[in-house]
Amino acid sequence: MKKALQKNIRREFKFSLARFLSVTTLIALGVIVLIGLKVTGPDMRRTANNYYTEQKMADAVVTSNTDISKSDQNYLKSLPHVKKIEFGTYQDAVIENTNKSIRLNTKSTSLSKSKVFKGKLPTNNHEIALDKREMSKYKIGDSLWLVNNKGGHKIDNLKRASYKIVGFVTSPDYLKKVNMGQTSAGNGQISTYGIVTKSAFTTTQPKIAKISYNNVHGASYSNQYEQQVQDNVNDVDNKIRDRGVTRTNNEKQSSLDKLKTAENNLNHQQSQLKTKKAQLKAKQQQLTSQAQQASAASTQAQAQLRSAENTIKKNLAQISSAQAKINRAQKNLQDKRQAIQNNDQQIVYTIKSRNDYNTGYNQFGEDAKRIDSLSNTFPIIFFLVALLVCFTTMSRMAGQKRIELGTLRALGYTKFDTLKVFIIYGLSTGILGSLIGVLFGTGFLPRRIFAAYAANFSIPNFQTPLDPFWITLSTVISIAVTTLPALYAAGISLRELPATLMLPKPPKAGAKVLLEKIPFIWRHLSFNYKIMIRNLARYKTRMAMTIIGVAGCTALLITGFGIRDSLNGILSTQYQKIVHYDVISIYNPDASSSKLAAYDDSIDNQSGIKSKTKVFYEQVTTHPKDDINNQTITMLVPKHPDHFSSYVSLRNPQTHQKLSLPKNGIAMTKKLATLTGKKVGDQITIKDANGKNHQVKIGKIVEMYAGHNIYLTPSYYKQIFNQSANYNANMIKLNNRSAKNIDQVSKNLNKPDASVTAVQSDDEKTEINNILHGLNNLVLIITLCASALAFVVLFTLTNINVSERIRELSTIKVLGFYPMEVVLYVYRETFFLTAVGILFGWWGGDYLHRYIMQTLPPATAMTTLNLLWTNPTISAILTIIFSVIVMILMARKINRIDMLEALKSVD
Amino acid sequence: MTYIKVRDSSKIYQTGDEEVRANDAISFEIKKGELTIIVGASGAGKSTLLNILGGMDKPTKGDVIINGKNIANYNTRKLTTYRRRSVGFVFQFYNLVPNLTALENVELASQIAPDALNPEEVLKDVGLASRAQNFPAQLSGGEQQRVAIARAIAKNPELLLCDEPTGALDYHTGKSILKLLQDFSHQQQKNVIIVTHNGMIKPMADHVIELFDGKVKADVRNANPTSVEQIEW
Ligand SMILES: Nc1ncnc2c1ncn2[C@@H]1O[C@H](COP(=O)(O)OP(=O)(O)O)[C@@H](O)[C@H]1O
Ligand SMILES: [Mg+2]
Repeated sequence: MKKALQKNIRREFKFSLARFLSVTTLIALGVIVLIGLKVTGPDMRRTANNYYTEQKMADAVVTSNTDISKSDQNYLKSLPHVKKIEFGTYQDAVIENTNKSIRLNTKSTSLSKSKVFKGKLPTNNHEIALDKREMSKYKIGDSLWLVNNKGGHKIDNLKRASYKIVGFVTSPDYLKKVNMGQTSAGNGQISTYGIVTKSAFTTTQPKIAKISYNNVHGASYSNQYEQQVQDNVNDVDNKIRDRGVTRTNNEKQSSLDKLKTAENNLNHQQSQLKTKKAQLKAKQQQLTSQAQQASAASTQAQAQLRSAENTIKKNLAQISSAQAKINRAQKNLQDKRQAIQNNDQQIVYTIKSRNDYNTGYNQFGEDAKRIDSLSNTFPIIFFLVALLVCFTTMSRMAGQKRIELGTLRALGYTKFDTLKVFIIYGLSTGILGSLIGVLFGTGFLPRRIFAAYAANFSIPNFQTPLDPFWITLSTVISIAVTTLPALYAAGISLRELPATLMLPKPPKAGAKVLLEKIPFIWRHLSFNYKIMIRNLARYKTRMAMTIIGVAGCTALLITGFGIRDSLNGILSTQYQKIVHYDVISIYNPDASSSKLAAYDDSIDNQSGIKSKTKVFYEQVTTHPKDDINNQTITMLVPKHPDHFSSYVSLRNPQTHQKLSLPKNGIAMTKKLATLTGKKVGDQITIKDANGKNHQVKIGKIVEMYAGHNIYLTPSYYKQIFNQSANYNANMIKLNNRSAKNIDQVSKNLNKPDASVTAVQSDDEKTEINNILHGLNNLVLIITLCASALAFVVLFTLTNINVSERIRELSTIKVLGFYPMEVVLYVYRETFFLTAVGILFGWWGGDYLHRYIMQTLPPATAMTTLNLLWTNPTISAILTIIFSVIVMILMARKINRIDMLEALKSVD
Repeated sequence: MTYIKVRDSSKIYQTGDEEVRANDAISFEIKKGELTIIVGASGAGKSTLLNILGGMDKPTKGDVIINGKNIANYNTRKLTTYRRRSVGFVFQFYNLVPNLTALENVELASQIAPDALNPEEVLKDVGLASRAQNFPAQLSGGEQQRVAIARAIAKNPELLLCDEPTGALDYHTGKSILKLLQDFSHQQQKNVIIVTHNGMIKPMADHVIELFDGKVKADVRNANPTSVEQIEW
């Protein structure tokens, strides 16, 4: 029926293809970024939660520094809320002919099961399943040889040194691909893991207990879940530690008892020996007197006597050697008693929730949170800029079609008919844009972010389900923005009579601008600039739009690059200005004196050590008030506080001025102070490795970008802990600071029996580097999106500008302006607006960057807030480049304008 | 002395299978300083011809020799230079830049021409000295057309082309505009070509070319052109 009208509407799409594409692209970009960033965090958590649930990841884990006794196993089973409990053990070794340390774990059957990726799990003591990532080096059927730290095939706790590889797995115990944990094997870092049967181990006593609870609800990382688990853990924490203390005391007592029995035994032997000796002595006396009587007797009798005497002598010799043996044994027992009495090596049981027993779990959650915090600012601004520009474009569309509206009304079409074009146009751009946005925002972008950002985690099967809330919200807003402004503007026009509508709207009268009233300046402006200023004043909304659009995009670019600046700054500051040591070699100070001597020898013989200093090293924790999770802190007590500054520089976080260790309090790193909300002079509670709480005073707050540390003097340590620091580590600086050398030295340092592990200052470097790498990729995605937005915004706004002034442009073309002059005639404004937009963008970008950098870093890291000067420069240059590209596109459009066509008509 | 020589100039529009000959083998000559009127019914091909003469369009075939140079062979850039240096245009719908004052609209043209006239002088010549600082929206139709003429003249062109310059104006205003053009041509010895569908004003011209259906129907010279004031229609 209304075929002509339909045709007219269809033509609208064809003739304004650039506008159609602009609006659709803007909506699509806005929706992609909004949905993409909003759902990635939840998607990450959902994926992880599904994996944890599927593999029945333990809610808590009890570990022991030795093993868990039978009675303590029974005790753990009887803890409240325990649904399931599974015991296991592990052993670290080195893969033969490599530097790699491997941790062999018992195959779990009910909790924290490994997921078979290929092959199968081991079924007997000579089979092993390896980390999936080892598939590049081994294949099923290969055999794997392990060695101990000294290169031998006799490995403590393991029955065999060789295993047949039967499968490849992922394991919820190993969520991270790097920094899997500290070990005394190899260079101190676990680099891979394997799963073996229980029967592969020589011991039957487990080292760890995995626990699941029956009173936890909600998904992993939800407050509900985390809080309940933490409560369960806190409730029994002390009781479990007490079991360790009791067991230590019991075992001490029982070994003392054993010793007593042995001593009694020995004493008994001693007295027996004494009696025997006395008897022999008597007999000897008797023989001597017999011999005197028999001196005249037959030689035969004399010979008999002599042989008897010899026998007695022999017996006496035997007795004295037995006596020596007993003496030795006595000495031995005395030593043992001494050792038992001196030994204060406690058996420590610790119970930890997922966040604490599995750093990967915690970091993955933190990473997801970081995306969440990004998603609260970045995509919102992005979406708003896109919407704003769509809004302008669509209300202009209605303005441009004014005469057509009048004509249709005059011809007798209803108001609804005349508005149809806006409804159809708006709906199709809005729906198409949202559809593309939802498609890429739900699947593509989260996948890209996950692949780039979470590359350090081995959590399989990333899931990207549709998110009804964000999809509905963004689609509704998008469609509203593509339809309502045009309908509104057209609606206002339609109130006029068709006759007036058909007349061209009297061109907006030009007007003098403020600047003209200052003749001094105005007269000195060239004609072109006068025109530019007039036009700027004339199209005020578009001017504002362009400035806001450009400013928004520049700000987003600055933030994108700024995230990288801030994070990259950390590494150089941290490792050039603050941390100067390369490795901390931790040893057991309670090891036997011969083992300690061997350890000292090995350090003395290690070449390439520049300097070393003794420290006391302990991992302690604190519980920030408003947080569910504990924060792990490295506590360092330098033996020589005066020399400490050449190993770690304590600096004021603001002024970077060097500080000395406080006398009466601890030096605490900045991020920890921020997290706990503490300041100098406050008290903070820390829990030591044995689970005891201590109140310490904060003496100074110092600069540090990764990890939490507290530093204290030996005297303050003594004051707080009521005992002198039992120095257990050597902080070492190397001549050759390459990662390879640090690795090699760490490996050597780990060889002596007294060595516990080697902590490389690099470890954190790798960690930061990984975070950096992930964020850099994220930043790349962000800047790409921001660039695309900047481009489309500039294009759309310039396109409106050109379309609306086509008559004016035709006129000056007829006057004989050359193509470049025509382009500059309109583009001078755009350049000016771009420049103003960039200035605002610098300001806004700095602000946005500060805001994001305060929420983005993980709990254990801090960043600098400074922007490098290169950043605003690059952002501005990029924006200018986009502007120039748009100009080139527009130049083509302007050159194609048919000046005759444009000048023929009235409109 | 021949200033313009058009030889077998045709403009053929191809729309689908159909061929529209807007100009069909048109030939004529115009002498230096002549006031020429091209007259014909709507659709006769007048605007097409004028646009070709003004270097805004190119003939499909044929030669258009202006001052000895064949602009039919010019590329876009050379045509632009030709327009810039030698041609002034006046349209039916003034086409002033709304955002510029009368004076600035004139300056827009004088800016780019090498031997431009003083814009203020030109505005005075068209009788608008007092409205120099007004914006187009503040001027009447006739005044706007005067500004347009001033803008065309300010470049000091050798050729002034006017496409239905009075089409949107009332009788008296139209008459005064025609007077302005006639005076300009006769006093400055410049070539002015006026396109119109109104045959009644033919007497004012030195040279009248009548078009019909894309062809030249008549090509008449008028030794004694009548002053515009004496023409009634
Ligand atoms: N761009 C074009 N495409 C197709 N036909 C055209 C075009 N421009 C003009 N014409 C046709 O050429 C003929 C002459 O047009 P025109 O020169 O504008 O006439 P006039 O100015 O005498 O009224 C008309 O029939 C018109 O339809
Ligand atoms: Mg015409």
